[in-house]
Amino acid sequence: MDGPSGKQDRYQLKRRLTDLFDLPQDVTLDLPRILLVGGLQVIVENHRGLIEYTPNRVAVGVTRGQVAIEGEELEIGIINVEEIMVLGRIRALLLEE
Amino acid sequence: MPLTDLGRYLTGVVTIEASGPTVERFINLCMTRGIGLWEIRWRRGRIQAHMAVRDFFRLRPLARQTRTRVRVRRRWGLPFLWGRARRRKVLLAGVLAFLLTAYAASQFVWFVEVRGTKELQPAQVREAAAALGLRPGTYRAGVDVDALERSLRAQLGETSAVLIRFVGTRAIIQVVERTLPPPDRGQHDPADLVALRPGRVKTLAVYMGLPEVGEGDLVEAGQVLVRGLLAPGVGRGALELRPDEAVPVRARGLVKAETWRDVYVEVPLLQQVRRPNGRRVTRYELKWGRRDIIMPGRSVDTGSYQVDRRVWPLLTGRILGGPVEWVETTFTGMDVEPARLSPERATQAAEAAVVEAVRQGLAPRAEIQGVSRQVVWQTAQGMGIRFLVTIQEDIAVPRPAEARPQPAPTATP
Repeated sequence: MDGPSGKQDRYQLKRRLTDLFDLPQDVTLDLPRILLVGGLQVIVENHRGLIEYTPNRVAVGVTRGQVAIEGEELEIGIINVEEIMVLGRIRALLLEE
Repeated sequence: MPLTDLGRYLTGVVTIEASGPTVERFINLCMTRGIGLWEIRWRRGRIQAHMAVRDFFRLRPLARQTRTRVRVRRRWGLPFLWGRARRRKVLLAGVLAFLLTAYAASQFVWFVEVRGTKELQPAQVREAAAALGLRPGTYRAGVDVDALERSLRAQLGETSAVLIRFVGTRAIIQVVERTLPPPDRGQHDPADLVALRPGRVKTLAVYMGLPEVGEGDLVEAGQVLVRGLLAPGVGRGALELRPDEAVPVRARGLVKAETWRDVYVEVPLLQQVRRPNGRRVTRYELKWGRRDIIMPGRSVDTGSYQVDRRVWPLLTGRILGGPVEWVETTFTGMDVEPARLSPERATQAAEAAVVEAVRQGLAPRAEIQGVSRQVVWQTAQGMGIRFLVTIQEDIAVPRPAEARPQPAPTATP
């Protein structure tokens, strides 16, 4: 079993290899891709599911943390295993570890 | 409606309301099981979402697992509409009957429209078409368009082309009338065709005789346009002539030329205009034969009035000693006021009057091509305008050969 330090080591190794071979980081490190369209729409790809949903806050799980979208009258336009689209008046986008 | 929405509408959609302690987990489970949710939003403390009706029955274990209460708020789409319609058989039959009737009705001609007539009357064309089987109520597919066009052309006589097409429930008969030389009242005496007035020749069609002018030529009044002579090699070759012989004939042809009418008009800018002043009196009368019974009412004062009279015949004939009529006469008081016309308005009014006056004096086939104007003088009281009206018309008129100026004898060597 890997402990937290083992996971950290493996992640660091992946990062070095990615930098060395100039590979796309979102693919090799399994990172989310986030697209913000003005203050109206946020699309989070490669997510790990919905953590919290209220009209003022949507938290989406991603590798190594979560993406929090804050605003007003937030709604989830689409949700599937590949992406989540959040619509509404978006005020803030936070990357939380 | 976007294509995705149309697809969802066809397969049926339900709007669900979910409430519970772990609604987010419920949404995640739906997502991982491939149950599509969209437009998820908060409504009255609950989560509302749309989903395909086929996925709804897969929700139960997930709802139980996450202790989420799911209720259907709305069902919409074709399957539900169909379900409702099946319960209302009469309505369904009515809709079906309506659609069938509309489809059946669209297979018939409801309107016959005639276009392109000049000399012919549209009613005349419609009557001829009706006699040949094309009238409102005719089954469209049963019309042999080619045969009908041929028959109609033969029947109308004065047309060079008849085209029939269908636009929806309308049958449009496009008529192109034959351009014939003007009737010559059966005269056969040799004659030339000369210009009635000066102009520029636009088109020239010679049926008999020798053309003396060409298209684009400027001609004077009285100038010979078509010479009344038949020479070898000219005409239809019906006559075989010696090369030195030319037979005098009656020239026939159509010479369309651009001609002009020069009209000078003086327009006063200060005019007397009658305007209603608000006074209005209506008088009723009962006319019975020669007797006239005026109903009591307000009397009409002296002044200027516009009088409108409406008559309702009550009894005709002489049953009661003469026709009985009810007459309503309305007197609308008018004030006469001086009014000043703007030069533009005065010019427009004068132009309309000039065009109308010129049109009155034209032959049926003549067309006004345009109007140009020139202000000759203008003061505060009025203005003088010269209008030049351009017309396209047939200027050829026959002139008897006797009136032809005799050529000077040429000296022979």
